[in-house]
Amino acid sequence: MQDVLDKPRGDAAPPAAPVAPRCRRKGVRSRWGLTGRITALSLFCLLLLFPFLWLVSQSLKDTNQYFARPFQWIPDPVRWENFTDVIFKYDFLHYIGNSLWLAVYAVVVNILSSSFVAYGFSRFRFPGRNALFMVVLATMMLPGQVMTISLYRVYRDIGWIDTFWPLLVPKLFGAAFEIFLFRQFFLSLPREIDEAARIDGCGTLRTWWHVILPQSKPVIIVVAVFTFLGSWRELFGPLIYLTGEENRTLPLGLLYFTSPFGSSLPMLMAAIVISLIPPIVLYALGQKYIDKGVAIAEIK
Amino acid sequence: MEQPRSRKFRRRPGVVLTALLLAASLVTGACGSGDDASDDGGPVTISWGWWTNTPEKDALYRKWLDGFEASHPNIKIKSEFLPWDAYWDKVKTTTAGGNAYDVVGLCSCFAASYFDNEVFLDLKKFDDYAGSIARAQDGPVGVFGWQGKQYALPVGVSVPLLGYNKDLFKAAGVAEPDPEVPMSFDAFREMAKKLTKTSGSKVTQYALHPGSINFWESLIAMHGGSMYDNFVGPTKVTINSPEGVAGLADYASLFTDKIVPPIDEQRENQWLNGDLDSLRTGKVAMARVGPWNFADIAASSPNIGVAPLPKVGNELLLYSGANGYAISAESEHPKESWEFLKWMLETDNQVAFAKFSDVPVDGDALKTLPEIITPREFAPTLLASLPAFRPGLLTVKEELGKNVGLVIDDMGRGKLTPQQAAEKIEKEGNALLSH
Amino acid sequence: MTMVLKPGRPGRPRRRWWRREGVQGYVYISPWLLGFLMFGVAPLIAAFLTSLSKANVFRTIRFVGLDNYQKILTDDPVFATIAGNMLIYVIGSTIISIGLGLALALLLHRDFRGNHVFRTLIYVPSLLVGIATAYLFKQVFQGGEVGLANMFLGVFGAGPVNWLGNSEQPWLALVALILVNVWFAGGTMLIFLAGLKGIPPAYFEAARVDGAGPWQMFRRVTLPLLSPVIVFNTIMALIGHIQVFETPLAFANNGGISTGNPLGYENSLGTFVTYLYVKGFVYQDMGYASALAFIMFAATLVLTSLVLWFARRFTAYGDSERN
Repeated sequence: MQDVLDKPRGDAAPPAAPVAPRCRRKGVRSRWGLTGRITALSLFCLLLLFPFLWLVSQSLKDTNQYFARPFQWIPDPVRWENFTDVIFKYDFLHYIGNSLWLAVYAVVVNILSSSFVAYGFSRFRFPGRNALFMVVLATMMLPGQVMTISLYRVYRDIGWIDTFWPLLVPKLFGAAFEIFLFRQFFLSLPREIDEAARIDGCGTLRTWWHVILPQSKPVIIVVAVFTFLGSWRELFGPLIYLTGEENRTLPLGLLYFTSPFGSSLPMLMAAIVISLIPPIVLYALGQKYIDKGVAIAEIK
Repeated sequence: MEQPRSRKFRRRPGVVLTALLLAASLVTGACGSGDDASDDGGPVTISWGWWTNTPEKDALYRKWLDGFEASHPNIKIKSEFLPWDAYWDKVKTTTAGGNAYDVVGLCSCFAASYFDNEVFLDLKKFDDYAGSIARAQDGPVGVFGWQGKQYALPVGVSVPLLGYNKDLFKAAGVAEPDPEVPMSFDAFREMAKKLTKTSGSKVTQYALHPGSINFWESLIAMHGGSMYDNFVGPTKVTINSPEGVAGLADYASLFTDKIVPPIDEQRENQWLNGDLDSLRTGKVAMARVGPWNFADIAASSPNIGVAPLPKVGNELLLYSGANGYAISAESEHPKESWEFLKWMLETDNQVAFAKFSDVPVDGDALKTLPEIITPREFAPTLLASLPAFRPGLLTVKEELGKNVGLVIDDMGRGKLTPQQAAEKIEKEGNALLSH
Repeated sequence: MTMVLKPGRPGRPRRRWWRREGVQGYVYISPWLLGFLMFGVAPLIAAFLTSLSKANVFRTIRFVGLDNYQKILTDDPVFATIAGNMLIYVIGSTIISIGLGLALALLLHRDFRGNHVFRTLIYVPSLLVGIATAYLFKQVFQGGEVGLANMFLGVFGAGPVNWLGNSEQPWLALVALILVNVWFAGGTMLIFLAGLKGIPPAYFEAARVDGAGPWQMFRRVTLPLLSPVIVFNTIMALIGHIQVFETPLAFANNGGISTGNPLGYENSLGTFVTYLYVKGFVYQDMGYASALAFIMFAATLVLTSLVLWFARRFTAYGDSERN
């Protein structure tokens, strides 16, 4: 494993960068390049968002309009009640609130625990490190379905059923994907900064907190996005470990519209649109930090 | 050896660690506190699960449960309504994990493996078992019997009905079917041919979406044959008989006469699932509906009518299921749970149940159906179809029904003749059942 | 990778045992290790024992040794079909995830007006929760003129195509399943973008001074410097795609309880996890399903090792200082 920084040696010249004078032709070319780039992206986004137009259209219909053929892109009349019903009658704000706090908890705790563990894997040598790291990766490779029941029994035996513990506690232990991502990033940080911190009198704990983490803001944002979505999407855990209406989370709330006995698909579509809003807002807010950049070390 | 610490490096990691430790201690602290123990004196709480229909119906269901709590002041019901798929995931996981609801809501469609693994109590062991089912119809009770034991009791029955889109009948100039008297299959087929519309070589409207009614089972039975030696716990497939082949031939004719969409178009969902939703497209004239759809029809689709499914010979036969309740074998409150099961089968409570949900199991409650059902005009159809009820397939070999369906699909595609299909179903089915 | 103490720290007093690097390493990984020992090991062992037994969801019936494994690998035509599906699906989807994700990241890497809007829009599909994904993409590939893919084809006068229920061309369903990944390239894009931003601009400047064109720049600067990120994304994409579950199940299932094959026409939509699910939870053969899980695990491990081998063989850089 690679413990020192090795900036990959590309075939490129060393980075002694004199600023190239920009000549006019190049400016014209890059403007054309930009136009092409924007056109390509717009077309792609159009393709990508086509199903979402359908989604919005269907979310504003009643059940008969929803299934009527031929398909009508613009609902007539428009049924805004689907949205108000989802929010007020079906109490979706409550479900969103539940999902949100679980997700925020997951983000905060997972970033701390995963980076902590990743720091251990990337900065210390100890017997069995590689083997244990392989185990971390391996836990991602076995489908969880075959373990759900025995895991449920474990939680039952310690009396955690109908409590939030099965959802909260595992986050304290870090998650494989996040550990992996953090570790790759930490490996790319120069060892010298640890060294400098040590000379400053920092123990390893403070090095992690004061030196490594502040350097890791971009990767923290990436991890935050993935962790948030992972928790935001989680259906099975809240379903089997919790009971009661007050504990319903958003993915479970959505399923209530899919009953084969009186489904209300227009409402489902409205609820899906609503469920997209919080993550879109958070993502739009958070993504500018990604501009800071993340270097990932070679995987061995 | 220690360098003087710079001040800014103080504090914060400590805060984090404290927080983590605090969280950890909370966790370990939680281990000790178990559930609420309510052994003596105070009311006992039993957990109870069912699948959701609509919030309105769930609320009515809960009100019905409140009625139980009112008459049994020392028993409380902690109810949970979950979406269909999620409900079964939860029941399976919690049952296998040894922590199921005390009272488990059950559809006969998924019951076999639970019964076969004895995860529910045998209700016959309760002293007053015989009295509690005295007025219940035999068919639905039989659905929940398994190898001489009774693992659940039915609360309601469902029979499939033929739902139709009145607008499409009017447009085709076809008279609406009689709400009470089943048509003969041949008359049905003649009527249906007029309801399939084509434009050029393309079919733009189909008369019937058979969806998930295994109507071939009924056709075979009405021809005098039987799919299986026994629908509950079959040991043999007996479809390969002249009657069986005749029933399959009738079913296959629906495809050759273009009454139903081709299998491939059914599977790609072009005409939806063959339920109320298909009727709502305005491109499918008839599909299966059931009592579970009535509230929805009354609320938003007044153009949907119902009639009994067609019959062959003298008697209509419909294979269907029932919904009911079982008691978890690991329940700590079996007596209280049994109180609930007995309560739900009492005539008054059955009437109250039928007002918002399935057809009652209790014979006396059934008689009140015409007065309590909405839409009221559907009552005659329901009452005419109910005697046709036969318990549907119940087997631990879940592949059986699935495989039969796949062979029927190939027959619908024209890849197999009814004779070949019967042979294949019987051969494959018996191979599966024998080991 | 051993316990060799790092040389080159002369003159330091002997540190106390808890300050030793090896001990400290364990302290840092202890949260994960603790979690794994408490909640990971037991279910893992249980699942492995189940894979050696005849068992259903509720109980283990008897020990059968390696029978399940043997049957899967030598005597299960369904598994053979599914393994073929998976090979095509995983390769196709990984190419989309990596290729498209990288292309989008390259297009969005340079700052320009509207950049953030595009990034957000491209990421929107990745924000859907599972059930929404299933419903939306079922609609995209629905049959007839109401299916969105068919509407799109209709603009060009083609279609309508029967994507998901086609008994003549069952492979179309698998194509549809692969195409779904076009919508989810946002995830890999995100990591690629972050990785691209992490390359010091000086490298690009230097190459520009050398007169490198865009292709050469990509080939000689971006690709080698980004290769660790590419390898990371590839491994994660592989692991993710091998476990694809909700969408194929939704594609194959058309609502009814007993209609159609949950693995698609002649198993054309079967994936490892849908097969595992159907076998274990529907057909009540949990032993078989558990064995499938471990075979799947082995397949993932082999594929991941292949990627790493490939990466090591063909990325011609990297300091060889290992410990």
